[in-house]
Amino acid sequence: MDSTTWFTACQDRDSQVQASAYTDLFAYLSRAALHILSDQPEAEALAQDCAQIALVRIHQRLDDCREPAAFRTWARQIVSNLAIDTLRRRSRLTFAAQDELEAALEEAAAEQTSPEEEVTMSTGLSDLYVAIQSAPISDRSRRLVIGRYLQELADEPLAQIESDLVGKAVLPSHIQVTRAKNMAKLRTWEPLLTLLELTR
Amino acid sequence: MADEITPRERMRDALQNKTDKAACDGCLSRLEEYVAAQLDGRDYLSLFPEIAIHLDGCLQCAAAYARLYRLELAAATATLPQLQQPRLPDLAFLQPAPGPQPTLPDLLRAAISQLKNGVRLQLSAGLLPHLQPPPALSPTRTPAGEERYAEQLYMLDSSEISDSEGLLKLAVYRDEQQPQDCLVEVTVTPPGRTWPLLAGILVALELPNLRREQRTNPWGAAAFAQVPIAELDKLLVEVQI
Repeated sequence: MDSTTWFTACQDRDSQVQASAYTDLFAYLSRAALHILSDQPEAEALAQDCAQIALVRIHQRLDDCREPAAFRTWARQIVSNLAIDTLRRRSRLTFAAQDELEAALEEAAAEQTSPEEEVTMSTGLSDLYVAIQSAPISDRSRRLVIGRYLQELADEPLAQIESDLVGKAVLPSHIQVTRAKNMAKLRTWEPLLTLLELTR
Repeated sequence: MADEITPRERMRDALQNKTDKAACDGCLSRLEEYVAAQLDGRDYLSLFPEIAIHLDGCLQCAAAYARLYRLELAAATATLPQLQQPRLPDLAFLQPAPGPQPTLPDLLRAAISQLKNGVRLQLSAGLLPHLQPPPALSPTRTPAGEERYAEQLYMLDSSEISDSEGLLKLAVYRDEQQPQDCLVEVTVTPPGRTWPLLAGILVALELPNLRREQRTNPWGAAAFAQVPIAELDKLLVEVQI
């Protein structure tokens, strides 16, 4: 069912058509929530609880969906926000096991290569470049930090570089995961903090 | 990237990023837009520079981002997981909300009507539950001979509504000896009349196959025994003043 048809069916005056549309929507939202919550205990039950809350919220806010053609995305965003909020309230908002595993495998593969690095960056940053090159993080992590902060690259080209190095597709989200973890390490590394005139 | 701050400032911001609840709330509330812009191929770093910096400085929000990013990829490629034990949704929210429940005064106004020289009370199944007395805290002691009508089933006082002319009270007691029957006691107190001038008022009690009449005593009371409890919801009381 396309988004516009689905949106229209959710408002149908025929109660059977409407109920059927919401039942289908519940199944779809449960799958979306399960994708986010898949590494949690009782993941299916948790996902369906989120989907039920989302269903009521969608019904109440149907008028807020101004683009019927984007109804599916709009509805999915409501349930994904609920799922993320559920993790946050339970203090379980951590990297998904799959993200951790794939990022680690990619990093291990990247460490076995010896890429020739040609770094083009803005002027006046060579002190930062030298500092990051000696930071206690992996080569891959260095590339991602330098790529973002000194070369001002988005995660897509960085993911492409890493994909070429390891010979498999690397998601831009894994670039973000790896860089966030290494920025946390750099936050306590004195030489960089001193260079940037930051205190711990 | 077309933002104003320099790479050095951006790195400083990321390293001293504040990961308090307000900052995370702000980031998470716009994360969907950020991911959508990224997947649409838009310049998300320029559109959401503060979110990009926050994600590098906050592991929790970076984790949320990674989960959302993967969800959007799975949705785009129709690879969302299937549930092993799907259940049906609760669709009660689709039913229209019930209207406001009528109050006892509303029900009494509908049940009591003024006659030319009196007043009429029509009981109904909807009204009876509202007339049940509160549960007694302890058994009521009754004088010998009155124990037969000790259990009060219903009570009604027309003074609950201000527009009833001639105050009418109704009390219904179960007949201990014939539990399917009850005693209906009607007390009438027309304005300006008190004991003993309350005697002689005609009270009629009607059921589908029954009509009984009585005159009130000096206290304004008329009692009708052996009234079937099962028919109380059809009981009509007429008072001629």
